[in-house]
Amino acid sequence: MQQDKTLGKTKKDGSMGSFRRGQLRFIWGWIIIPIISWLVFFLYVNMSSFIQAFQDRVTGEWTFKNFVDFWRSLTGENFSGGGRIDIALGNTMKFFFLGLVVNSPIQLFVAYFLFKKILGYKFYRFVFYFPVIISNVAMTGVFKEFIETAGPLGQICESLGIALPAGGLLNSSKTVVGTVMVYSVWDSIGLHMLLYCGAMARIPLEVLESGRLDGVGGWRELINLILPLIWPTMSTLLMLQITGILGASGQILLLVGENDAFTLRAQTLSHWIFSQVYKGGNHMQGQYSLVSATGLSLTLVMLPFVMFVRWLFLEKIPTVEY
Amino acid sequence: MSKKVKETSILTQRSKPEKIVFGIIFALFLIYAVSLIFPFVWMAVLSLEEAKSLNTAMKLNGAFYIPEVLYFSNYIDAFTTMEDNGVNFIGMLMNSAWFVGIGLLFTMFWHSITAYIFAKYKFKGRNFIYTCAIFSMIVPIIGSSGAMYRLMAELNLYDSGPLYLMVTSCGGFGGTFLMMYGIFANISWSYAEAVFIDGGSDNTVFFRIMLPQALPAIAAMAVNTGIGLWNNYGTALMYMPSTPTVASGLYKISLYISDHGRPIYYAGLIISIVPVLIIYGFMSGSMMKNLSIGGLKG
Repeated sequence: MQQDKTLGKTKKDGSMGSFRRGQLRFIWGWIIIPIISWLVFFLYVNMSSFIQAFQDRVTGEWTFKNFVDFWRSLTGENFSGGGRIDIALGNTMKFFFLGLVVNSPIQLFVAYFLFKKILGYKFYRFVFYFPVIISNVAMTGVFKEFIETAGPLGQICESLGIALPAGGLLNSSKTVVGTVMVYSVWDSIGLHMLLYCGAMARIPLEVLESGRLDGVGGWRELINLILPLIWPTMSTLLMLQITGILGASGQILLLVGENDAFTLRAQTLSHWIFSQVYKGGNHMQGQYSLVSATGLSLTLVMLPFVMFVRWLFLEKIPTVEY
Repeated sequence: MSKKVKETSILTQRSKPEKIVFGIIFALFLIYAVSLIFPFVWMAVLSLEEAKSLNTAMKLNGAFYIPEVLYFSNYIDAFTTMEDNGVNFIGMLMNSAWFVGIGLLFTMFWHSITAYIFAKYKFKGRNFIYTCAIFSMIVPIIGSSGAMYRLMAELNLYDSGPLYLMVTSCGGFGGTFLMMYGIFANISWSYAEAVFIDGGSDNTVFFRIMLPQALPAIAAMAVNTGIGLWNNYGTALMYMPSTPTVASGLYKISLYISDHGRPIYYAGLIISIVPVLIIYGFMSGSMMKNLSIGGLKG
């Protein structure tokens, strides 16, 4: 879509040089700030994190200790850093695949039926977006209260003869992860709904009409006609989701807490990193070097996978122009 | 007229099996919609309860009871009694207001000008910068938050309130960049050529021609971004502890709220969601029409 704006054709007074210079002043004058921001807050921060991974947290001396600690935690050994990276990584993968295999298809199907103007679609489109616009603090707050043993869910279960764990679903090592996963599904159904609906709304109706005339049913319409036509939107969203593979998480902090006994059971990598860096608000007391070593190791492992998926999406799957 | 014809066209005709599928989906949608609405209605009702143990009350009266006396004063108490780090709820609302205002202004402006330039101009280094920006979006990096935390302390931006927000909101690359890129790429360049012929500058083209044309889509994105900022609790929690926002303050309050204080806390939660519901109510149609994403290919 990008157009050639060298502007040889649009010069006003024949002084191509001054016109071009003015244009370059405009371009660089504006983008220099975002570029500096990117250099400082992305490049410098990540390079700094890279160096930090090889430094002792206290003395600043060069060391591989952080990687040893990371490995010990990954293999299930206890160490001074706190938390269990093996559990956190396992839970992160669970949440990632939940998002990819369950949440994303549901979001797409919901958008499809709204696009097909199911009865009450305007109401549903409005309500399903609530979890996106209502703060996670409020969403988790109401969810937690609702599933309490004394709350509505507890009483409904009691009337059905089903016993919830004594302390509630979030206070049992058996149910805490499952409960956070259920919340993740409940909370994310409307997540990309508007983007999918918007992409579907831009599909020429003639394409779908001719499909119908050729006897294409609802399922084939979605898979064979709509999906290829919304692929630019879908591939971008999937790509961003896959890029966030290591950050995949439920609302552990808000649902389970920071240092709760059951936090360890439900912990994900992003929650583990948060708790290591934040340290309950004790400024600058975090395990930054260990966090950097963990991040670096896992990033290097995941990078080939993400690059492969990107190549697959962008180079191997053709985009339909319309 | 033609639109009307299309709406009653073959696309709206459903076979019997399709009607059954749509019926089942309708029922599932209804259940999900109720599951989203009902808990908030339930919470709103209990926010009017007397400041007493809700657990005991629910055990006695059932979870779905309606209090005999409705204490609307809980909503006033929410403003005066809830506080985090010495900041009361009114202070948190004020903090949220500037947090959203500054964050929105800076984020939308820098993303729009950056996306516009990359969508419409060819210049030396353009492809390299674009590739770097996209690469930074698709590399699965985690673990740099420790380095970021240290950088903020070194730059004296930690806990600096609005200054922190202004400095960190000057980035032009990210998900919003991709959305804006798509918007500007689809606006015809012939308008700009006409302005250049009339002696207008590139700034004139952007601010007078391109920005107004992109405004409906940018406004839709601004609503989304603004709501995201209003609900953002992590930034204030980690980098601005002295200026808690509504979201971060409510999170901190939730950690130590007593059973007796829950009705007032619920009132605070309800207050926190009212502004976003109102704004979304007015803007949902525009958001539906104007939100799109793409551009990973460049």
